[in-house]
Amino acid sequence: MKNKTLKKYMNFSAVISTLIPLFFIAMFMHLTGSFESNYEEYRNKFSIELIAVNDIDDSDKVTITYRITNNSWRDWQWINYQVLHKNNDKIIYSSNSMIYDWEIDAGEQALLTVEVDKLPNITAFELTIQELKNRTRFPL
Amino acid sequence: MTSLSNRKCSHCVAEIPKAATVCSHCRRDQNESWYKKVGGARIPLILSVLIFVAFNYGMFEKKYSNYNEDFDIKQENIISLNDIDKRVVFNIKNNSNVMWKKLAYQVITKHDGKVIDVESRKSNYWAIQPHSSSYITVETYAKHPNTTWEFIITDLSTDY
Repeated sequence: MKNKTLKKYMNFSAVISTLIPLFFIAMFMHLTGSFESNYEEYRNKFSIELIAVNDIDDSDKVTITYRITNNSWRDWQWINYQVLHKNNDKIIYSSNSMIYDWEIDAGEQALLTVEVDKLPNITAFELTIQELKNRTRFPL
Repeated sequence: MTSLSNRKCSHCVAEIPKAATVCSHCRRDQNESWYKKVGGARIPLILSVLIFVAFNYGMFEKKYSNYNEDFDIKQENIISLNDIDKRVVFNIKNNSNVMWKKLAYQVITKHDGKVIDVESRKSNYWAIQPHSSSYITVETYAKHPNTTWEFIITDLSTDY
């Protein structure tokens, strides 16, 4: 009985001593971003459609709302974007910003409303997603 | 002296039979794995300390100074807001295979080729994907008609 318990303990300790280095390797890979997918590889899986431009009362700002479609199989969050203000094909102004709590699920659509300066002679607002972070399932 | 049928315990150096799997003196296992022999529990600890130090010293970060030749900058447009204030749009092309963020830059204002002003600025939300273009708009001024602007990237980061 005593020997059995000792054997069980030794097996358990062998498993633990193998798992500990594996855990640290996994943690290292997580820290270096090995489990994260790069938005660049999924860029062509996104489509952007302008749905509304609204003046803000008593303000020199406008709000622009886009509908973003995520055709990838991953969930994304934390959007970094650039809005180009155009007059025909000429770029009049560019602005960059980030929304940390913006999220879009795999295969879903999400709205993005951004506030920009109201400038004269603007004929188009072009949104470019510069970066998204994928929602990781690794709990560290 | 150790006899032919005996050997020394790898832990307490006491004499034990060659076939013994456990030392009769210190009760330690004689067939321990390499991991246990080198003090296995210490390896992850040492590894994690090394990783922590390497991260703190930015050893895994890419340095912009090694990639500055991979960028092309061109003046896209100048918009006159009034007689003096101008808005200049620059196009930045990233020919590297690295995603860059947090743009630190200088705008050098020149009149007839002579430097009249240098402004250093930072755009923390600016980002650019590998092998792509992005824009930056700079609010500046021109007191003379022959004013030109030069845009220099002073630093970029790979993390926020």
